[in-house]
Amino acid sequence: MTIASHKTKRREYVRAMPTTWWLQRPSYLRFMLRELGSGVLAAYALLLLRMLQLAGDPPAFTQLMLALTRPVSIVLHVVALAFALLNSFTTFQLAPRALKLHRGEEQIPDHLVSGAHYLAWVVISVGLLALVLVRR
Amino acid sequence: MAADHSERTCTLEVFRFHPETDEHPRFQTYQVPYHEDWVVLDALNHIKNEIDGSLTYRWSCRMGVCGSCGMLINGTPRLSCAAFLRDYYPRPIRVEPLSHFPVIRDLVINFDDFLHKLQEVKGWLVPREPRSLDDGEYRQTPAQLAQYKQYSMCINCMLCYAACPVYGHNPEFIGPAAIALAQRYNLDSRDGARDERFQVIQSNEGVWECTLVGECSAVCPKNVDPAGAIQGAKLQGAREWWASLLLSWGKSRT
Repeated sequence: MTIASHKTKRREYVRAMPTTWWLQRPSYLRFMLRELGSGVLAAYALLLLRMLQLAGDPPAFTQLMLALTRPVSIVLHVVALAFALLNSFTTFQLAPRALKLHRGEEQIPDHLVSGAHYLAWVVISVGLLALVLVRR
Repeated sequence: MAADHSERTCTLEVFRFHPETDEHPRFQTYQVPYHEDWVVLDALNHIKNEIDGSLTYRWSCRMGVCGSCGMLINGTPRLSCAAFLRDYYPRPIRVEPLSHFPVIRDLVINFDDFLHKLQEVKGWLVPREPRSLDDGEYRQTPAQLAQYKQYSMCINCMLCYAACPVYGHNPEFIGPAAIALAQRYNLDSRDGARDERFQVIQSNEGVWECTLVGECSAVCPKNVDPAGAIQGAKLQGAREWWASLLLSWGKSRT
């Protein structure tokens, strides 16, 4: 008997990752929507920059504003808002992963870290809203 | 006492692959007795002992300590010793080997890649100041221990790798458990090899490959929070990058 006959026929099976992997688990889908959301938010930021650019040109600005009242534009705004909210919530939910604070031996609990983010979000949003209303 | 349960059975659909006879894997269905206090590992042991001795899988402690019995159970990476039949019954339970690893046979995966990664990140203590035995122990306050204790609870079960789509797409990614282990020593007050580990974990295949899906922490049976370790390492890396940038800027001005 030769030594070679003792060898096992080792052959490993490699499973390919399906292209639909992100549909396999709800958490993967949430992740993909979060990432997609950043694209939507970047596009919306471009629109805001365009508005800023046209601020010195009232007729062009008015024209842009009129274009934004079209139904398709309103629908796009609702979509952008939905993604902005999703992006904010998922980011704040993940904030305790990135921010690990210790007070002595105790780690600051997750809900306090995300809670602080939500609080800052509300305070800054209300502050901005107040600023806009006052300047009117 | 168990008589009232003996009639009921639970269905297991088990991933089978024999490297010498199977071109592709297949699923084999087994009926096992249903018991309230049985876990999936008990069911697999029943199959191996009573129904089909050829079924191959890894296990050892059956109490969530050794980390050898990780499997995909209905698609989710879990320790089969901690997954109760009652949480799935009466639906069938699908058992597969951990995803993203090559399958050697049935539920047994090849995790050589993971072992290499543990070595790559220098997952051991490199004393900051070498001491002889006569100098006594390295002392540490409870607050210093708290900095890394969570990351030291890892049992190398690789559930986090099976849950990580980034690792699935790019096997070069150092991955959750190895980076958590690197952080476990980086944050240890007695350790002095942080700079050496930073070379590895701040590389393209290190923390910056992570897109924070967060599933590694969700499936971790020991609450190690590898996602937290990775984000912490990103923060440290970014801080040091900015510091070096400011330092070189300051130098160029003087």
